[in-house]
Amino acid sequence: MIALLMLALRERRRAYAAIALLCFAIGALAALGAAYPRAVADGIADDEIKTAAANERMFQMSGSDDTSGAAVLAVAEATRRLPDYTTVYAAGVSVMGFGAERSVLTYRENACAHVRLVSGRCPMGSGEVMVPAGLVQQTRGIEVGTRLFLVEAIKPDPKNPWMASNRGRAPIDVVGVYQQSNPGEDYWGVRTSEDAAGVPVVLTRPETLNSLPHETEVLTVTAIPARPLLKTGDYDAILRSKLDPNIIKSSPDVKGMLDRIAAKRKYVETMTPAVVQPVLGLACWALFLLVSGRLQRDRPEVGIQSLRGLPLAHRWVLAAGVSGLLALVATPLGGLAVTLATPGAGGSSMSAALIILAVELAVIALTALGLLRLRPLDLLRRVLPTGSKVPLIEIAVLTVAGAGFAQMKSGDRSGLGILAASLIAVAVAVAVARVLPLALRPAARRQLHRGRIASGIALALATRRPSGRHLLALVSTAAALFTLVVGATDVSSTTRHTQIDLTLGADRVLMVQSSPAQALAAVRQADPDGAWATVTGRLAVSGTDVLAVDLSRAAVMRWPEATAVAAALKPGGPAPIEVSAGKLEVFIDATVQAIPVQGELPPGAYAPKARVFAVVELPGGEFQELDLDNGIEPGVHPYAVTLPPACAEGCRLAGLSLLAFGAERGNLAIQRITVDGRPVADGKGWHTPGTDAGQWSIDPAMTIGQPTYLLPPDVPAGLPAAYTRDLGDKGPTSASFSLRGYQRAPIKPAVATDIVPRVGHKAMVVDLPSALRATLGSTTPSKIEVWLSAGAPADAQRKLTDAGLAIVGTESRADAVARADRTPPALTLRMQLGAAVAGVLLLLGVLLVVSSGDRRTTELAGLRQAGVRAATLRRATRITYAMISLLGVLIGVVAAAVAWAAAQSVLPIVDGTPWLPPPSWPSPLPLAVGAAGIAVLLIVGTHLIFVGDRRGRGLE
Amino acid sequence: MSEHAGLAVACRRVVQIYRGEGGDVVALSGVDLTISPGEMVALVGPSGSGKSTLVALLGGLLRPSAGRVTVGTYDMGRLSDREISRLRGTRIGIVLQGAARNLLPYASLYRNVWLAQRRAASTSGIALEDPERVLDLVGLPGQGKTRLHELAPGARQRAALAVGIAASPGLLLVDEPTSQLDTGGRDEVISALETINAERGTTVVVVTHDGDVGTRLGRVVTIRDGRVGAEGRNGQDFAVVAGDGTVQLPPEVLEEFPPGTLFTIDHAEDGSVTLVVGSS
Repeated sequence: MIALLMLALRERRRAYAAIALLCFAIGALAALGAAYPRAVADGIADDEIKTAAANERMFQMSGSDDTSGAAVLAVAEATRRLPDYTTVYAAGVSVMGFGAERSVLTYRENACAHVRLVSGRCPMGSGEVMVPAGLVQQTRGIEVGTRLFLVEAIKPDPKNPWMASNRGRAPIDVVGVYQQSNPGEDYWGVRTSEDAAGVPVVLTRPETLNSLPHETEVLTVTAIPARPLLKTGDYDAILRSKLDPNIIKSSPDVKGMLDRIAAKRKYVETMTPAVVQPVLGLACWALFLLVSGRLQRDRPEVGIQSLRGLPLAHRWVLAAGVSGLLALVATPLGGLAVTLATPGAGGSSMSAALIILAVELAVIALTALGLLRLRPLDLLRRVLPTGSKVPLIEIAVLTVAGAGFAQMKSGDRSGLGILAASLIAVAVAVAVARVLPLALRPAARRQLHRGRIASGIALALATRRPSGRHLLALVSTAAALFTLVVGATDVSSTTRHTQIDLTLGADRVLMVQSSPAQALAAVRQADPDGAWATVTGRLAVSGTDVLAVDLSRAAVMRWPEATAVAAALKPGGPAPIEVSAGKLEVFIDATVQAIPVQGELPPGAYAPKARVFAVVELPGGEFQELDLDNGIEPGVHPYAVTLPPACAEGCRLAGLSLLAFGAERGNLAIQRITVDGRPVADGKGWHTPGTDAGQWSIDPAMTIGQPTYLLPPDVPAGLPAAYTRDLGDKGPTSASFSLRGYQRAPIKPAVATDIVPRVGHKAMVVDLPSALRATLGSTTPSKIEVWLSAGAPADAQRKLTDAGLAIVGTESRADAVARADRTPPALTLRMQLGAAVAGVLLLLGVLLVVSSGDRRTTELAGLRQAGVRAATLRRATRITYAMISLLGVLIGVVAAAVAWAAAQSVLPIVDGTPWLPPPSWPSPLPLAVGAAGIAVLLIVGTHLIFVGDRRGRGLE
Repeated sequence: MSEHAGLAVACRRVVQIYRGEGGDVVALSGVDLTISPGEMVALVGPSGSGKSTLVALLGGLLRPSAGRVTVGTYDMGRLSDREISRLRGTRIGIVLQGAARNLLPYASLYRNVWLAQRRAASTSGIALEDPERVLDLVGLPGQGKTRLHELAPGARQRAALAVGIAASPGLLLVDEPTSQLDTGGRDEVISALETINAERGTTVVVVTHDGDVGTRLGRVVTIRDGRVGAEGRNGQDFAVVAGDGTVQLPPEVLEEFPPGTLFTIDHAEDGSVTLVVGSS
């Protein structure tokens, strides 16, 4: 039998090559489906470990007294025996002697392998030390060869600084100066408060520690788990690893990181199969079609064997043996290729390949069995008799999809529930592809009756032949899965990028250590046109986070609503009152009268008259309060002060303040303001914060010594703010900033928005310069940042630094996108997209194989014999496959839409909870391009086959 | 029953009706036929007369709609599919029209014969001949390694016969073995059939349009309109009385006695029968 199979294989090697290739591809895809999530999960785990703090990725335990020190030593000894851990033992004594500050004289085992020697060598004997390069730079007189005397440092009172003990001193020799080769290396252990405080670590040998008289020695053991152990995210594995419970207990943060890794691993490993498995199903279906097609061609042979009464087992082997043998060889080879090409794929990928091999063998065996069950007489017919069959596949697929949907609806996102979207897509595609041909059959008849032979035959071939119906279902399914994944990828990408835009606010964010005024001035200097930079800061008002932005540069922000919000928050108004250097005179009409001070004043004390101050905003954006001469007198009087020289470049009169001491009552009104006698403003528009009233009252009830302010016309009564809808329909109606004194500068909700970039759902936006003016600089935003647009010049940071900004950190959109692209949903979707593309390519291969076999089909040969022209038949077959391709893609898009509407929630679209909900539907453009791409690919592919066929005179 | 003994065939009032979408078609309408063990019979008749249906019934490929078909001791209508399958693998050999349809094109003649013996090989008590010996029997000695496409048309047909008799059947059913063959090829095939019959005693039933084949086989059964219309034995033609007492007149006689013709039957004392056309 084997010899016969080999003969058949050799004779029909070209035909069987397609089956072998398909099996190879299926094996590779199955292996990839298993290897990829593992590789992705490993990559995610690596990222998580890299970004985790040291206390989350290693265990550390310290002790300084006899009991705890002994425990540390015991743990160190026990840990050394564990193969999954690297043990680092250290002992340290605080010492004085290296300059005025305390240092830690430390023995850290195997330290020489982890430092770079700037000069000298490693300590080799007692009394030898190597000092950090930083200490040498800070402390004069320390270099290689220096001899110093050390004494233990003690701190009996935590409130007092460290001091030298009186236990005696020990001489040491500096033999080397070092730098840590890689300060972030796990070897250096968990950063302690001493590390954070920059206490120098002087490395030495244990003998040196012993030679130094001391009372307290801190022993530390660090157990660094092997990366593979951490990457599993399995905390139980740590517990099972025989690591001492004491050190586990002393490092509780490790569990948090492992839990995060485990959650991400589970996500990837659960979600990736959601499309890979249906695509594998699709591939097995394609295998069924190929094997079935092969068997149809071999049907006469199967028939004659049945006629001769050949035992079923023999017939089965003859019918399915070659395909089975090819599957047995090609599928594991595909799996092996992926396993070898994917680092860390492990045995799971080969197991997956072997599992799918079993499925393939079952498909082949059952396909053959379907034919072998026929009577010899039927097998020997030219055309198989047709009969109505129960649509078992369709019923099975719909049942499974229904179960998945029900499970998903019950809230169970595991098993079939997680596959719900792809199952529904497949089920709808299969069901519609089953029903549509039935509906189109009459059209075939009509076309033939009207004399349209080619299109009539094409419709008949597409709708009546089992292979036509199967191909339509296959195209529909592949297109449905592809469209579904393209849609998910599009929505996921949009959501990720939107989230990045919202959390960052701009293409680049520079964290600066400057006052808001300095930052505003520096940015205006570096970017005078406001083209690429703006300044932001954070405020807290009535418990709500407020983003203060220089909205005159709103275009810099990556926020679609920025322009509209800026327009709403910066309405045009009166021009600011500009004053230059000179004598500022404020003419005030005071209708006040003195009132007796309640109670007796102490001897020599008196209640001073109320005084007025002018507040100017200097060119640099700082606010300065200037004391106008003389106390308030009844009647109209000028109150004057000389403006600071900085105002030569122009200052803005930011307001007036009044300081009363309870000795008067009455009203004040601004009449005019002059500089060196030149009028610069009248009294119109001046108002107290939050009101339009220009009346400025003095009242004994005013808090004595607390200023009250009068604001110029260019400052609105309420500071316009944009507010998120989560704060209420009308926004926060009573929010206000505090000024110095008892007054408050209220916020006036102006425009609603869904989200405030960089802050979130419950937040407000105000114009930063307006906020500073409304509060006369008394409100100080924190977290000052400079946001840069994508068009910022390459040397933007240098320009800003030159303008006086101290940049202490940066965040860029590109980095955020790169990080987001490595999140579990993004990586999962990438694999799913790959699987969907593989599904389409498999489909193309099957379509090509099936269509290329059409020239040998008995139906077409019969039609040719019946007198149909070869050209008409060629056109009919071309139309058939074009029709199958187009209809299949359309059905696929519809099926994907149904699946999206029904089970969008189980698709791996978002990581966590985005600030804005993902779009309800994907953008039409990528879907249209994807669907059109599949259709064109299939139509062109089959067309090329027929071009080749015509050259080969296939249907002549 | 010896493994080489020919099988007797008996058809009693066999009716075969094909059921189709456009209505039922009566293919055989009461065939009575007896073939003795070791006999060689040619079934002739026009296309659509029911020859192939009759052979399909004899081979167990169809079950009779009515009547009884017996091959040897086997009532073909009562056997299960499995038993019929076993019978075709051991006792009934079938050779389809067109030599290529009977052979695996990629396998050698030896392998083809060997494969056709598998059912018999798995059935205890049957001694199988070496495939080379079977090929020798049909006049293809030493051709075991030859493949189908390497043979001349006549040799191909004989190779098909070799496959048909691979399991040493008692009944060999052959459909149009000489169509599209030249005279030489036809003679070789007929010789092979005669050899098979002579050496093994195999009952041979051949469907053919070729009158010469019938003459060579000795007995010719003409199937007409689903019935046995006539028989020729050793060159002499006979009408056959069917089980229901009807007799089919030969076409040339039928022209003289159109349907509806009335006649009387006179029995003479010498045993002869005379039909006397009556006048109304």
